Amino acid sequence: MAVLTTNGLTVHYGPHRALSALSVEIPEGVSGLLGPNGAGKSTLLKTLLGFLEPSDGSLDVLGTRVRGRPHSLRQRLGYFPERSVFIPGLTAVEMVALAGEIGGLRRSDALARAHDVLWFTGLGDARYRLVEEFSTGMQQRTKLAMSLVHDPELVLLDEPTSSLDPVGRRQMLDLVRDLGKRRVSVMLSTHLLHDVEQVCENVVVLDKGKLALEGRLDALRQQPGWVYEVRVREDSPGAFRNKLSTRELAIEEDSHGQLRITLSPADSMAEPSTRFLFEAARSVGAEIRHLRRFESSLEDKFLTAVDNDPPHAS
Amino acid sequence: MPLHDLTYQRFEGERSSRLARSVAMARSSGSLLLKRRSFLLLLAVSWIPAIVRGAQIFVARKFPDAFPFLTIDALLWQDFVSQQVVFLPVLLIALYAGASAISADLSSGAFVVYLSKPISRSDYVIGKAIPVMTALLAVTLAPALTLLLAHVFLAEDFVLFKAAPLLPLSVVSYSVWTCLYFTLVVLAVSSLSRSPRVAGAGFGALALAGPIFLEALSRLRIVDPPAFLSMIDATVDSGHVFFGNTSTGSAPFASLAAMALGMGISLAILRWRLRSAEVSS
Repeated sequence: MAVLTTNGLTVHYGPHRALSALSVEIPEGVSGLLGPNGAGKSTLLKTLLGFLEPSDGSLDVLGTRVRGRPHSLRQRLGYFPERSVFIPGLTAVEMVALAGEIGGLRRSDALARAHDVLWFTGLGDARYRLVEEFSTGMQQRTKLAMSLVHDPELVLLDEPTSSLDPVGRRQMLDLVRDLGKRRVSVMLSTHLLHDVEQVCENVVVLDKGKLALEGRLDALRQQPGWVYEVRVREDSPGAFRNKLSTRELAIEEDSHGQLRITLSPADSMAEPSTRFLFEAARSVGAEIRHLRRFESSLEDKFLTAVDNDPPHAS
Repeated sequence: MPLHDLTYQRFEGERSSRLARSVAMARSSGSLLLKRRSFLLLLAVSWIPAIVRGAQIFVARKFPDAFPFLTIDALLWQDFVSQQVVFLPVLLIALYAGASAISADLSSGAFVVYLSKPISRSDYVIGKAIPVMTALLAVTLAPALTLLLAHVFLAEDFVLFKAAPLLPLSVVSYSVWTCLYFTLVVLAVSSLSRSPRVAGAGFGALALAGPIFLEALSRLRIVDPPAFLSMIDATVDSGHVFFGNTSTGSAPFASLAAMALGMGISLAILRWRLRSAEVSS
């Protein structure tokens, strides 16, 4: 089942069109929501929560059509806001229990769940301390506990690793990965490609309020066709490439002087032989120092999908 | 380390009602208020007028011949509630409990957490209003009813209730009306700023500017100023409606209408500000 389906979703911020005819389907699991600043990520999250109303199109979350302020749907959603959140004077367990009660749990259940999720987020030993005295990483984990305490089916995380040190970031990503294993769907809104590559199964890239790219991460990483990275050492630069050019192969050279050679088209299932590459190298007195099948990074895909024009909406 | 499973667990229990969620918010805010000694001191000081009135009832009932000028009638309760407004306990309690109620949530980001949960903006306002309203009732209705009980125990007749059979209802309705008015106004002012101090200063200025303005008009003898121009004077004036003394006062019904208008404007401000805060959060 798709956790989120939009069909022609358009959202305006005053005169600005923040989301423009967005049609996307996000399946269960851990999904990354990527995009440069102003791409419409936060707008999409706010629309999911009912903070913003679509001016056109439809939005279905967890099989429910979002109209107005969907209280029954909110019970199934958890939200982790980007900015720091605390109520002065409340300890972590009091604050998470309060979030649980407001999320629809009975008082005793909320308190029990607060203890459980604080242990889960690694704050078990610090749960009786005031949240305002916590470090940034601990406050982030408190926010995660607050978003999970009422047991949502879909958790919306807005930049959960921002301002965390490497250790804290890895712990947070481990928690997100663990949630995915527990059949809690997660939508991770971030501008950190690395985070998405670490934990997400699916990715949606927005740019200027429009869908720029979507799909399963492993499928996106896979380069269509059989493309190989080749690095050679040669006495006369360019000789190896010139030799290969007689075979009508698609050859690109990256900024490090490494060649990307497409040996057979995308629809070819059979792995092509690379023997002729070695023969070509030997014939021009070159040595192949590196040869492996090319797998494009998410960053490559992201940069291809997102052009560098300034965004028109915040 | 606990002995139980530390991994994420799903919840299978029952869910609470929406009212229970507002009550949870109110309980949390209320317990934070009660942790402050200065607030408890303010509450205690606000009961001093009730103690004075209690002594007045005691003396009037036990020594009626010695103090014939001390009359116990419905006006005593009207004056008591009015004086709680005029002598500032209501204003100070509203300021203390209400000025930071929404502005602190806006500045700390707690507002977004509340409204991302399955509650409406109305539930949120109710959750914020309950502790303010309760604190205000604790210095108006609670002492007024205590005085009424004290009179019942001290009086040897039912003359008071024969003369004013609706007195308990008048006390309750006037107190609730007054507290509701101050609660909504202070919450509306609180929603206008992210700084509790600015919100508090704004509410104080709004409440105190009226009497100063009326006093200035009165001294200049430009016009006989109507009470409904001031929050405090309008509240005192509206008391005549609840106690059935509409022939006295400045313009009690106009004051009542002005207060109703003030509450309507406060609700409109709350609706507008909370909506804006959601969008800009």
